Amino acid sequence: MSFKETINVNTMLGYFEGEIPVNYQYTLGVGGNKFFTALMEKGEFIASECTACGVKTIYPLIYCEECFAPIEKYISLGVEGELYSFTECHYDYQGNKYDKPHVLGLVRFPGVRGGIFHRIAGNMDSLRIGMKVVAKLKPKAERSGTIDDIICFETA
Amino acid sequence: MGYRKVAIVGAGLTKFVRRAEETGQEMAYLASKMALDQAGLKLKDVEMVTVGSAPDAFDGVHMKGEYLLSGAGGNGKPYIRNFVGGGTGVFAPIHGWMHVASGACDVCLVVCSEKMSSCHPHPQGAFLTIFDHTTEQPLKPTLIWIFALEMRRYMETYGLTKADVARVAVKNKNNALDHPSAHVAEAVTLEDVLNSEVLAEPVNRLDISPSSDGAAAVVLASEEVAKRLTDKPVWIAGVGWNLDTAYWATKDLYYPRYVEKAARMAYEMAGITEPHKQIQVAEPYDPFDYKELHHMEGLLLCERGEAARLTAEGYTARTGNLPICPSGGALGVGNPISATGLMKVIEIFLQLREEAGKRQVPGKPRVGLAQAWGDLMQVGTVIVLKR
Repeated sequence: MSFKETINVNTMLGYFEGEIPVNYQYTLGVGGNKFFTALMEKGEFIASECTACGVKTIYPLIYCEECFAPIEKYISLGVEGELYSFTECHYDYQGNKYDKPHVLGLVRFPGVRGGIFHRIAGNMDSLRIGMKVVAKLKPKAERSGTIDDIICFETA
Repeated sequence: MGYRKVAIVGAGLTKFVRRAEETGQEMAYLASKMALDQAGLKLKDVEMVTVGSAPDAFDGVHMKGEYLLSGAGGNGKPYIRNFVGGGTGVFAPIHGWMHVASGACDVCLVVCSEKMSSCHPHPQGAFLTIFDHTTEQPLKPTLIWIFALEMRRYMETYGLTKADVARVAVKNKNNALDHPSAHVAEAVTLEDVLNSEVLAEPVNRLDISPSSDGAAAVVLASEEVAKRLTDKPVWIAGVGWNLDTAYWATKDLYYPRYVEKAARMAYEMAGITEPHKQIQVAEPYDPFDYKELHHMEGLLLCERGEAARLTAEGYTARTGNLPICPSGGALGVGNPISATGLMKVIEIFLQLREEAGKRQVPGKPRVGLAQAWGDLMQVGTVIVLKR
């Protein structure tokens, strides 16, 4: 049998190291541009609202996922939402253990589809599902139009 | 053979551009909405959705099919991505055909979307790992290198010059001047192509299609639904696909047998016995100019080694006996991989409906063909359409 299951280090076998030598410059998109421009310049979250069926969506789309009508209306949601769920994470994506666990959560907005997945301030004991949270943003001069313009969400 | 009849009843196509502001999802939406609007349908009328898209590494989005779902109208529907590399754009409507021909649904939306501009410094970097990781990757090849080998061998086999091949690029880039989606239409001359920068001898820059962002979509319907929707359904008369080994070095390099096998499969289904007489307009895949010639021969549209002569004689011009790539093809309209293949299907759809505008070929064609190709000289996908 050719499978040598007792070997658990690739370099003990014949091998060649490789990589896919590319990186990416992801376009924000038309909907994304509206969201990040508003976040950077006005310090607020934007949702799309379908004038055909009424569905509101964050992050904003240029089309309605429900009825496929083109979106013509975008609305401000402010920066306050509700903590829909949360977790305390102990390992990063390369399998390294954090010195201090990271708390992440999903923040949603009443009547709006979708939400913002982001860092949550505070320890697990201080959090509960349904609590009001508000986004803590970088000062306007330091914002660059990325999701990291949001430092975290904290108790309202 | 027990298949239900399937028609194309609507088509949508975005512009092909170097860098789209839209995301892949947004481009998919724009094409899908156009196709649905042309068919006179709403998203709720779509029962199933299939999406074709090139390797995930181009967009830098793993599980790209799932990512594109939203813009392709797949939310909450039986949805699946199909993928056969560069052959995907013509396989996508074949996959949609399976959905409808089998009776699984009456209306299927087929979407192809490609966002090539995210990939840096160049999409060729994403191609590196399709080569064998131990025997070929250490050479750090690009696909152009091996297609240069193929082009040289093809030219040598039939005694062709670079000018014989370059006439395809001249024809297609000029044809694309009439295509509203065109990215790189240019009134280029033979001298322009021959004098363009050498990338890998004998391949010059203008021998190759550029990478583009773009999306395309078609709506497929069963016979009953199609006849209710339109007076001008275009029927999918035959489909074929075939894949060859990834050991590209085992091939003769001058003849695409996998394309011939795919074509024969489609022709048998469509009742085509003399393709060079019965196919009246064709869109073979032309990411390189020599590939159009290769594919004309593999598709049995002419004798082996004859395609270049026919091109030089104007036989394949838009007004010729057998118009080839009247759209302008990948060389002229641009090459957002899967969207290019579906663009070719849409071109035949429009030609058979006599709705191709300035690009319309004469003679009221009734039978046409689109074909795509890809990977390490491996994939042939063919669709035959009839009015």
